[in-house]
Amino acid sequence: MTRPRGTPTGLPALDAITGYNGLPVGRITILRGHGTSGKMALGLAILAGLQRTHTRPVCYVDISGACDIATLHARGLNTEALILARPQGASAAITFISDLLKAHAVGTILVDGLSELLIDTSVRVMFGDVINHLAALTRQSGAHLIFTYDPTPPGTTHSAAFDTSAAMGMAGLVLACRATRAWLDDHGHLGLQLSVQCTRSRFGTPGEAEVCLEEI
Amino acid sequence: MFGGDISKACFAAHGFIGGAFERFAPELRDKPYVLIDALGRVEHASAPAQTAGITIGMSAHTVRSRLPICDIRTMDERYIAEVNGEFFDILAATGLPCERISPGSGYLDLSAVAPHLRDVREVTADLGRTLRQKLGEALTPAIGWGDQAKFVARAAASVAPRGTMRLITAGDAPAFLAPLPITHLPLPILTLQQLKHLGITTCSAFASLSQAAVRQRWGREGVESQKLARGEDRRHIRPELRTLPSPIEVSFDAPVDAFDHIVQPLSTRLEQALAISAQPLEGITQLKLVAHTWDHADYAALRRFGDPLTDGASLRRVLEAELRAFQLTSPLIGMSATIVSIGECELRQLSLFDLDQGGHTPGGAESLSESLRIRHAAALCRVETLAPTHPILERRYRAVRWGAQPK
Repeated sequence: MTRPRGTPTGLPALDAITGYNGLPVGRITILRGHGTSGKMALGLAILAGLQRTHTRPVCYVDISGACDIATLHARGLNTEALILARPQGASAAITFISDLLKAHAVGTILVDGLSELLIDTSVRVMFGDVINHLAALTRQSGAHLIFTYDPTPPGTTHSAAFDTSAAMGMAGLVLACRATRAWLDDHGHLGLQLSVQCTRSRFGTPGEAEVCLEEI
Repeated sequence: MFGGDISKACFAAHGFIGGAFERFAPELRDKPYVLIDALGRVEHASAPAQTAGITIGMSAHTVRSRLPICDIRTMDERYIAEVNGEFFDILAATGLPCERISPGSGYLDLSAVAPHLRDVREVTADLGRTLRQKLGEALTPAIGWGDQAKFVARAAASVAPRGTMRLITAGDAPAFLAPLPITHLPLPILTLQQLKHLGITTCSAFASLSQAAVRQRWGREGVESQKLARGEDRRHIRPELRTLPSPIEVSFDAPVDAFDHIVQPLSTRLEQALAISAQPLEGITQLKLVAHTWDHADYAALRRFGDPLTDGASLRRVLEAELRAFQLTSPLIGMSATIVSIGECELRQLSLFDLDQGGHTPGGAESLSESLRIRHAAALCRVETLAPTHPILERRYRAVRWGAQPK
């Protein structure tokens, strides 16, 4: 098996534990963590880092439609150069992500989140095929496809966790997040200290990193 | 600039496969239908099918799920080849040198009969009429003419509507090529996308780049394409017959079963042979492979490529795939490869932006959003800045869906 290239995320501590010196190119990455664990903040920080350093555009797929634009700004994203999508429903989201990957023109797609996709029964029953399809398209396009995943989101059953095992199997990298400290600075900006554990990396030694994220 | 009376015409029947098929099944005209190849992939989609989102290369299963009313027919390759033969027989009957590009599309060297613009109109119109009378309205070609460059003739034929002609003199060529999208250039899709992301979307923008920079980033192909974009095209029209390299034989002292050891020497020698016999922007369109195994069995295959093979990496991929397909039962002691035909690289067309689309907005995200908006207007949002310093975060910016009706 050939080792995929890695793309530095702009967070050196994180890059050091992934085994790819960043995110694996053409592979799925999953950011795993419970509500308020900081996985979304980490996802946005990675997206902002890749937006700054790469020529290919980045995309944020907000399935729940809950993310505030000011948060994107605060995490350092340039919203004018961001493809922002709020597909209505899981099927629409999957079609959109597929089309985006088929265009071979996008660098990184951050999808918030995997659990929202599983709310749709039709997607849930054939989730293995869906994730296989997305993994193949990601490989072909050479993009980074990042999913956030809350193992026990409110209102879902335990079967959701079982369903996502297919995604975990297809992912090149799984990072588990846990917020260890949060603070507000003098200007009211939120700072987060995360403990990020690499729980699955095909080419790396699983390890743990301390990552500090501060709003701009 | 290049001297001599050179007169090159390109005859291109747009939608040739569909036109040929509709001769055979006229009831399907103006209806959504697709023709699938032996592998079950869409080879041709009618205009109503394309409007419904059916694209070339899609599987029959996807077509069924996207457009249940679509008529799915299997393409009769022999019939298409027959019609194509008729098309080229008419061109060849003129006795002028004729070069095939693809089904229903080819060059004709008019230098001997119509070296100047004033003679061309009559000769080409005559030929166009003959083609229409013999093959029918649907296969009437568009005709492009360039007095120096093949590329200009071909680009002119591709922008001319069916049954019309577009004649471009060498003096007018730069002005004609300037606004054309870069998708007319025979560049790999990846390069086209890179160019688009850099904001280079027209031939004039590509032509104005520094040649050194183009060479450094996109290599020989890039430089050759840049010359085409400037209207410089020294290639001659080459009739069907040409000297092809003799078969390339690779033999091994000891039986070999590692693909790498077989593929590497073969692809290197094929590349060398191609460099000698092909012109720039040409590649292998047919390749014959014969593998000799330790148990004295021979495995043979003839592969045709819609997309001519030009580089070592593609060659190696094809050779590896063929070797796998042979399902060899014992190690190899030798292998031979014969380049059966060489052809011009196809003009590319990206699905993301139309051929006729003029100005593209520079900036990757914006133009990509624009391309996706056709299908995903309901999902894509644009960010509006309301008051960036408002104390309530939610009132600083707003995301508005492109598909939303203005209030």
